[in-house]
Amino acid sequence: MSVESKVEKLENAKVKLTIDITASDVNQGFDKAYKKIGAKVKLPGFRPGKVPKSILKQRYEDTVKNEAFEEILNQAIETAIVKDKLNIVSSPDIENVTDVYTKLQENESLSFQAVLEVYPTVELGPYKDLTVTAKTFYYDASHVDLELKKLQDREAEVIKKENDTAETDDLLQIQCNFYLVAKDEDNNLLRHINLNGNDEWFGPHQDQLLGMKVGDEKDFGMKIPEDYGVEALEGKDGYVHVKILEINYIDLPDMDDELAKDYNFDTLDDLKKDIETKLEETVNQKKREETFSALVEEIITNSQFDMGEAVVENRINQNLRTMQKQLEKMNVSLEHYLAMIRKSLDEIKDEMRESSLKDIQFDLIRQSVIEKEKIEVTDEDMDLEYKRYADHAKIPFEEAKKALSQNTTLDTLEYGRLHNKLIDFLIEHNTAKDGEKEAIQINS
Amino acid sequence: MNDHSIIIRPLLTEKTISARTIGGKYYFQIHPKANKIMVSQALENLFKVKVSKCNTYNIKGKKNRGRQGKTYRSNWKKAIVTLKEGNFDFYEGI
Repeated sequence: MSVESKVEKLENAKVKLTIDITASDVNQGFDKAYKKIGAKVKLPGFRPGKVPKSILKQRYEDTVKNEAFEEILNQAIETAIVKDKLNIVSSPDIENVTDVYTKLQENESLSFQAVLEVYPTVELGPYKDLTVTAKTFYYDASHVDLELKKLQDREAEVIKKENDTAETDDLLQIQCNFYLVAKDEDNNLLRHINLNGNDEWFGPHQDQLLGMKVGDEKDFGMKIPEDYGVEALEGKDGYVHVKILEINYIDLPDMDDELAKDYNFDTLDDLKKDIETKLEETVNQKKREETFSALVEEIITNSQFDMGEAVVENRINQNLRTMQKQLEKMNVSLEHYLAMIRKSLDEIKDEMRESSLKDIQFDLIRQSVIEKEKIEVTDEDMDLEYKRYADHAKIPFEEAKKALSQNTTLDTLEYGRLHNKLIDFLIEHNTAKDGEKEAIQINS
Repeated sequence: MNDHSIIIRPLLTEKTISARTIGGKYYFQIHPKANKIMVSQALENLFKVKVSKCNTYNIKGKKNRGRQGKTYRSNWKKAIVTLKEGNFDFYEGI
């Protein structure tokens, strides 16, 4: 199909396509429609697909026209998009559809207009010699201690207590049964609790459990937890019947050179030094990230975007699909998840809107800065990546190169390398002032 | 028997359409009691055409096998007509 098309730019990254289709192309479209409908209809006296055109025309005129309308317009728009090299993000919106439908006749040419949204463009503002304020991070002795404690916890052993009483910081396995007035219903529930005062249900009442032995049973009054699972009881003042099934205690190793040896260090000081270096790295990395995001933020404010709605909407849907896939891996449906966090789909979409918009703006800026500054990944860069992988996996360089070149991670690697180069470039060509200081967070 | 009751319906199938394209023959279902002359006259009156040849056949109704045992579809009569001049609207463009 050959079409005549004109592209007219509108606001918000929209374009108006004016498309002229010749009569012969219209007829071709009709022929296809006749063939398609003819293959489906069953008429006595005719094998499927052998019904003459005129009989089809007599009996299925509307169906054929609908089919032809769709076929002709879709193909015309597709051809025009390819011809004019448009990067579209929305489905076409045809102006005066009913008029176009009535105008569509066999042996007659057709012209119509369609509005489409194209991929947004950016008019890049200044991105060099900017001054931004970015948060800085720090760590102190308490962070080192926390990290050490983490390592110590990892080496801890849980040991069963026989014929001994429950003490603070012990781990209990109990059977508990909540009731309002009397023992009216069995809701036996197994629960593991840590007697460090942090248990969600028994934390405030853990004194009651101290001093009990395995097999002991006890009743005491307490507020029935909100998430107990029996709606009639939740959140009310009631009683609990507790039976101790098992008492364990945590055996923590001493914090000395022995612990360090478990982590391949000679002395505890060496281990501490290693932790400090790692924390230092984290601090620098976080500062780099903060500076970069502050710079991006600044460049986004400086730049002009020609952007429509559909591209954001597409991105939101894409994110939703990714989320759905992740949830499916955990065997949770999206509906179930939404019910769990008590939000509607629209609320989630609204939450995603801003970040999706930022994502797209960042993509645009990233692309145009990379193009303008001709930032690219060289072979040496890739060699560095291979080397890093080889060191990490402890394999020879050539082997690492071969392994990485064979699978799809290469694209991700290249992308990551390019991203890093972009960050380096932006940080190098701009100034970052130190903003407020923040202590780094350590995940327990 | 009037003209309309003589000519019951044209037969439009793949076979009759190719017979028309190749040999200019038109197929009709006709009244079982009608003869060649009556069919020719009826067609000439109804469609303003000139008939050159008219052949007729009796078609025996097919057997049906149902729960009640054997039954039969009714017998009917077919006419194959060749025209001297004119044509039939309902066959045109096929």
